[in-house]
Amino acid sequence: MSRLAALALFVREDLRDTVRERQLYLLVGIYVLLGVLLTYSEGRTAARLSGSAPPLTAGLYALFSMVTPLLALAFFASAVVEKRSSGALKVVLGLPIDRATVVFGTFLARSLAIVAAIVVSFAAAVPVGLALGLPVDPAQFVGVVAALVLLAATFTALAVGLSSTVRTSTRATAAAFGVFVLFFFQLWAQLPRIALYVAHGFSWPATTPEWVAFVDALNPMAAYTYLVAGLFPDLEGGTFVRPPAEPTFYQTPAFALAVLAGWIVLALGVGYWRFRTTDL
Amino acid sequence: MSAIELRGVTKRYRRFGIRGSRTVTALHDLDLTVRSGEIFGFLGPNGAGKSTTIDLLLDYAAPTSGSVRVLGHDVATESAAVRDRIGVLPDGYGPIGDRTGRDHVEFAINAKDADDDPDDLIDRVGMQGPADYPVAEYSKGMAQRLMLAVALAGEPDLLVLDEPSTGLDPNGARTMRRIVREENERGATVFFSSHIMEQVEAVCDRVGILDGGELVAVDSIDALREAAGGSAAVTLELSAVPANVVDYVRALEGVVDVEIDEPSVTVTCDDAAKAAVVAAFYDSPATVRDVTTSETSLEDLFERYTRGVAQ
Repeated sequence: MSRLAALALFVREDLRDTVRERQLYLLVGIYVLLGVLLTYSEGRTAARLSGSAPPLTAGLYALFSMVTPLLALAFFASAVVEKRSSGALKVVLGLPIDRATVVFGTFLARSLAIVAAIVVSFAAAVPVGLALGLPVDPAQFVGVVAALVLLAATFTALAVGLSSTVRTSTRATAAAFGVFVLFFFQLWAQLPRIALYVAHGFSWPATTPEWVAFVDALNPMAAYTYLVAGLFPDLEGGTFVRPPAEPTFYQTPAFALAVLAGWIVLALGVGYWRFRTTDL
Repeated sequence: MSAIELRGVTKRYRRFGIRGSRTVTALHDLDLTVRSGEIFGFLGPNGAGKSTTIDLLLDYAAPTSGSVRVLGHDVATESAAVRDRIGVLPDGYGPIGDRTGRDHVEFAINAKDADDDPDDLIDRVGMQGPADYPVAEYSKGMAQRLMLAVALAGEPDLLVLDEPSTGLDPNGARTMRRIVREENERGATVFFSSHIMEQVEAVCDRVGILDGGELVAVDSIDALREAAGGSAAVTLELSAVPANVVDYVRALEGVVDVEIDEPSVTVTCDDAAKAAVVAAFYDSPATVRDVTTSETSLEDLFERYTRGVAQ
């Protein structure tokens, strides 16, 4: 069997596993419920204030920018390690399926699951928003969905990568929490500043060097924020990153795209590299 | 071509701790060849390294040193190609998520690009009823039958079965043995591990005995018996023990020892002398009430070759 056919089989069955285990229903349910409730409440507020209603996508963007990394990590951090500790990997790897297929296939299948939830949620929010008089900008709608899809894929890659690296579910949960704090709560931004403080003899230098802002931009949450801010400047909130008024090249949407793609490659690459030679 | 070829295989497990690491050598410089087309029994006490060896064959774990070749392929570099042609019943497996038994069998058939009918395989191992329930709800024996069905998918050239009869009821164990023979007649090589000698004897052409991470013997069971020395015995229950016949028997060729425990006599001898011993007592004035003979007991044989676990 060709590697591509093996990958297609693995992805199909792993995706069906998310259905068998009700994981997909739960994800879609959470997204749809949150999306529809938020749209409903925004619509009601706009009607009461009778001012200009915010576009439908503004609220959804702010909400799902936080929810997506959280759910991707929470749902998928155990994806591979659970199979390892249950012995399911002995069944899978007893068949002509290689370890790269397990890591990459899990990433693909789980990404598809969370992307389906995002798309269904946005689709469900449209009639609610229109009925309550919230304007829908098609370009912004498509752009925000695409950005969220990329964000979901990035954090799914991080979850699957760490799941392939650790040996127990407990560690996977702890590591997922760490990743969320590191990237979402901007612990990442503190690291270069601490390094700077220490290197400068435990005091702050008069000016912050350029490379600190560059390191900031490598945080996937920052890259995501810069990406959306560059395309739709009127969207705000959702992350703890404040987009710069005048972006330098590493704060542009193009560079941000590269950063997000880089994190996907890095997370899966490290996950596979650790998983490839490990003893089950 | 050999079905399985291990050369100088050593496997050490290292556990890192705060106060230095500990190392356990599970396999020590193991050489093992399984010929194409044979049924090979892999014996050893708990902890001898049987499952570790199988883990290395299947690339579940990598050897610390040495080479592992299966069906002519190097497992380290071509493991997926190897697994295309082998059927596996591993130790310590678990269900894949909430998949049913049938899902598992279909997955194996698809992964091997085979055209088996899942129902045929499920029938063959005798688990038609529960096939549509999640495997997570199976009993041990039923899961074991299912995994055998998974292993049989795609008519593999080599079956690797790790303690296949664990948890099986007597019917299941019989089915297992029958399938092993059928697969062998089809042309498959069968490699299975066990710590139960009787099962191995019932089906195996050759056995290897592993002990403490080293292979201590490889041969047919008969040859191993012979090498272990004649401790077969004939026990006769008599109406009385005629002293002159006892002396006569003691002088027979092949008789090692005669033990009298009125009214029965136990003669330790090699197999060839058994008939003469029985005839001598039958022709004597005493009435022979019962005769039992025994071969070198398998437990004795097992015990003689093995002494403990990995150091």
